[in-house]
Amino acid sequence: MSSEGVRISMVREELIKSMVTENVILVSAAALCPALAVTVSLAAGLCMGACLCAVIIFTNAFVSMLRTAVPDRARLFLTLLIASSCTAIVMMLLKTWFPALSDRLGIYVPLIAVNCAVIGRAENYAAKNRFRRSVVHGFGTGIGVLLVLCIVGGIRELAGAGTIAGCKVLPMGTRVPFWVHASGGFCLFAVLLALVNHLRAAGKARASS
Amino acid sequence: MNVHTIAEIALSALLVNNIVLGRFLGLCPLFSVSKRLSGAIWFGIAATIVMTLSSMVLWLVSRHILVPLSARYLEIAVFVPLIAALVLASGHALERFAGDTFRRIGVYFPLLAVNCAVIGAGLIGIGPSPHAGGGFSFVESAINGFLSGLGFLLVSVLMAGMQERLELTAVPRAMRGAPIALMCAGLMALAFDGFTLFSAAAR
Repeated sequence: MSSEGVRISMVREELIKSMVTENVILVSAAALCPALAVTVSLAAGLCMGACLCAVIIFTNAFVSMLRTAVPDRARLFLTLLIASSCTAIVMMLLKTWFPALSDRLGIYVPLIAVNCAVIGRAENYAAKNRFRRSVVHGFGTGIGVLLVLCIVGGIRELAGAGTIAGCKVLPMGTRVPFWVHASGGFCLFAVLLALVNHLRAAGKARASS
Repeated sequence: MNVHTIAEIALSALLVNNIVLGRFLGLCPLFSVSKRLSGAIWFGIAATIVMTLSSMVLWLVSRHILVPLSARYLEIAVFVPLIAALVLASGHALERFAGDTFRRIGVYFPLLAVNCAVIGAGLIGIGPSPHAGGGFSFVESAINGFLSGLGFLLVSVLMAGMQERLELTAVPRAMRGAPIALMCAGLMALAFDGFTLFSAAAR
């Protein structure tokens, strides 16, 4: 196989791994705070997902770039500094481009800096792998988070408010406000995680038989 | 600043906008640490101390350093490393010099150094205040942090009690672990929704 072929297969394998089989929200149940808090509508989920995605990619890139230059003891502080600086930049951009959404997302945008997905992937993956691989992995992780947030936001908006991205879909009487409340978010995630557990167990059983 | 305002802030931080069930912060440690009641209590106490500390420090840094320099956009980039360093250092100090009780609390400090509930409580304290008249004062911010911590302690103790009972029941295989814990949290959040009316009546 040519080196080009090796590279493409590496990218594909890395993307599938980070996006699907090791999805940071659905499989490792991390980064639940923003996933639960802001996903009351599709637009909010999309916006939060995009911010998280950007911060994960850039944090991974910088941490992996600097991984040989910094001793292990100082790594956590380096990661925190990089993640919080990236978050500060994303916050500024969000405030300029989408002031209304930025107000609605509130403290959850700055809290991206201490998100388990961002810190966890940077510490466990980017600190041990090469630059290109880390960026691809960060991209996959970010897109995985973005997709989950969009799906959950869409379901909650449809069930709770009867709209999708602001367009009215369901008639008045069929709305269940429970889903846009805190409790609905917890229950929906419980069902989603259980479904993923079930599918994984089924997949494992099929592979072993 | 009067008694009524403080009572409203306290009630909001402890029950109505509970930091875990109302604002969804601090979920990661909740599901990993609080599987035993004793661990949950000590962890909750540690979280209360750290959250009070972080609320006070963030308020001072924000109001006396960042606002005069008109550098509020740097807030998060300053706060996260600052709080992490502070919490790690005070955890080491507790483990090193304090008695047995405090040593038990100090063990949990490294887990709290990078925690969204700790930073979140501080950010709420410097954000817009729920009542009229701009932001929180220093004392109000500290009270908000302390009561948020107590709210965390309350929920983590309740969750640990539930987890201990759940071990004795036959949970469906797919629901074991995080899903059933989330479901419990959801039912508890439904109960806490009742406090919303409580705060509306107080107005």
